[in-house]
Amino acid sequence: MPFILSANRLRDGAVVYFAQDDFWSERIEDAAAVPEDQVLELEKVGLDAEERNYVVGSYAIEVAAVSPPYSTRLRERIRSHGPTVGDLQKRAAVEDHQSRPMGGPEG
Amino acid sequence: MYVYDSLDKTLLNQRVAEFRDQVKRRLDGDLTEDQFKPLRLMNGLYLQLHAYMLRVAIPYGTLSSDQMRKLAYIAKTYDRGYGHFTTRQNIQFNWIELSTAPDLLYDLSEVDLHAIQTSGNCIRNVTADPYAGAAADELDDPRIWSEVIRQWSTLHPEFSFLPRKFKIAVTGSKADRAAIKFHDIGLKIVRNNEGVLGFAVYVGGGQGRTPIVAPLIKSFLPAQDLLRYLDAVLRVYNRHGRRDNIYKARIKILVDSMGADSFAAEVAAEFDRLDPELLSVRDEDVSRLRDMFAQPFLRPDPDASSSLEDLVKKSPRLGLWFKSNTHPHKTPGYSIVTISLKPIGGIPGDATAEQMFAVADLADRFSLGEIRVTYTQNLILPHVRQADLFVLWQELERLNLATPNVGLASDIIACPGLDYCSLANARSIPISQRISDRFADLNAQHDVGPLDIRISGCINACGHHHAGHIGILGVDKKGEERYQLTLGGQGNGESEVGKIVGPGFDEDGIVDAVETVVSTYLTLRTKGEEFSQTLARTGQGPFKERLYDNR
Repeated sequence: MPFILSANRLRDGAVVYFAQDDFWSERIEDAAAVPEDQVLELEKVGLDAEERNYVVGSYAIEVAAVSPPYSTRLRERIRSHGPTVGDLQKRAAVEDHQSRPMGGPEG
Repeated sequence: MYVYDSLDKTLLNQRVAEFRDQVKRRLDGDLTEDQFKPLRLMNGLYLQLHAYMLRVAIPYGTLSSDQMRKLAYIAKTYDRGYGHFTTRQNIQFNWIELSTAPDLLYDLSEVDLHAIQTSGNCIRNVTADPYAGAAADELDDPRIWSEVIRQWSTLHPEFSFLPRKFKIAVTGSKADRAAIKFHDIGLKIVRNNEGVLGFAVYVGGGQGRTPIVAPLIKSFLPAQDLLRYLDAVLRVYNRHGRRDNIYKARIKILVDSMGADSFAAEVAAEFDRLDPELLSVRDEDVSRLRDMFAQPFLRPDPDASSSLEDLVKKSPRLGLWFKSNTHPHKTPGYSIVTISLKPIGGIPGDATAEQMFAVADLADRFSLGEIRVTYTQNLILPHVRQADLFVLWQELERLNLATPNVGLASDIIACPGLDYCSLANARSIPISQRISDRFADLNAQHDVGPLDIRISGCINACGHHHAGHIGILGVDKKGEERYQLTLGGQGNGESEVGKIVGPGFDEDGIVDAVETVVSTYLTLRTKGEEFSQTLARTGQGPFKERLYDNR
């Protein structure tokens, strides 16, 4: 099964996914998926980004589908899509916050 | 209330400046994550599933209205418009950015609040009876002694790297509203036969992977010896506590393995070695604190209850609220009011910034500017004139803060669970919401009577499931959420660890199972018998039969 790479961004803790080159996206849809035999290289990308103090705690996630990437683990689905709690007022606040423009990858 | 002196303020300002420098060095790359992580944790800043989470201490659960306003401001400015009151009289903000955390801590320090010792293997925020200073059954105000402990334990160099975290709770009343026997140290204020004030000391309680009700290790400790004795307990723990195994590192494991008597003997020997003068709690210090916590004069109003009865007759919903959300005050004509943070189908313990601002205003209008935070994730206005209850209730109704359910089925304790917490194995909040929805009929809840439902999303038991009449533990079983059901725990008043009933349930099944347990109780109970009494009489047998016979 393919893998994608995720971490938390150092500056704000946001969940991010490695997309390409130096670009990490907040959207799991942008995540680059690689076959299992390239996981070590993918993990190295994460360690490099940690060393450059852009992200923390990077790790590869196995995904069952790639477009969009779908993890079978609930924990990963909650990380990518936010809490499942159904408070409309809060969801609105979360969505409003998420729609704010974000800085570039190395801001 | 306690007011910070220049020493407290200097310490706090220095700490904020220090953390600001540490964050800058981390963002500049001068500190690695491994170097930085223990520093941020010492300032209550965790990295959770979605973002950084800041845990702010609310000392012994007491807040002024200005402090509550500041928390509301923090929620609005640095978070997403809400905060989460926890099961340890703290508040957590879930969406914090590292880069602005020092500014946030500076803002908090302006009202004498901080996040020091809300994480790490140190003495955590001391918790206390939320009715402190207002309860009719109180022997002495536990906040005075909690503040003594706060001053002694803050940045204590010897106790900053304990084998594991350390939690102390204090109550001054006969009724235990602070769950003291589920703490590393539980202190109950007592008087001996000569009328001398002191403490009954319980050591080695806790929940988590190994739930234990703390044994009594000293039945009477004179108040002036409090710090010397606590010092001795901590020294014995520091010396013998297991540092090789995180699951065996809490003091409860040490006390259990040594035996309470041997542990007490070793503490007594250590106590004798310590300098009595150095650690003696001085009368003048206690007297200064007693003045700070002294309740302003409340004019007794013994006739208030009769006019209240007339009002209650006019509105059944007010009647329900009065029954479940108010508690007798020590001054005639006053009540202690619990503000429910458990709206039907809501998130236990969450409050929006708007609600926090409004509660601060209500505290100013109706409760001498004082607010309390409970470990059961509600708020309290401790000194409300009964003549004001009707107006207060109307205001709370408008804010969706008057759900008449305190101590009932929908007053559920729940940890953040897998929706927020990086340690969790399963979600807690959605289960609590569904159970709350299932029991939405408030008249029916009142008919069921006192019922503690508590949910944890992992074995760390932040949701106190071991101590719930009905406890739910979320686990991960081969990638699926499963929920274990325990019955018979007690956390309010009595302390008892619940027992697992049988095989676990899936998300739908656990909600049905809770309903089955409650309906079984209703068929079994005798007149006036509460859930816990019925369960104690019948045992789990009839409940098991109903839960599992048709599976």
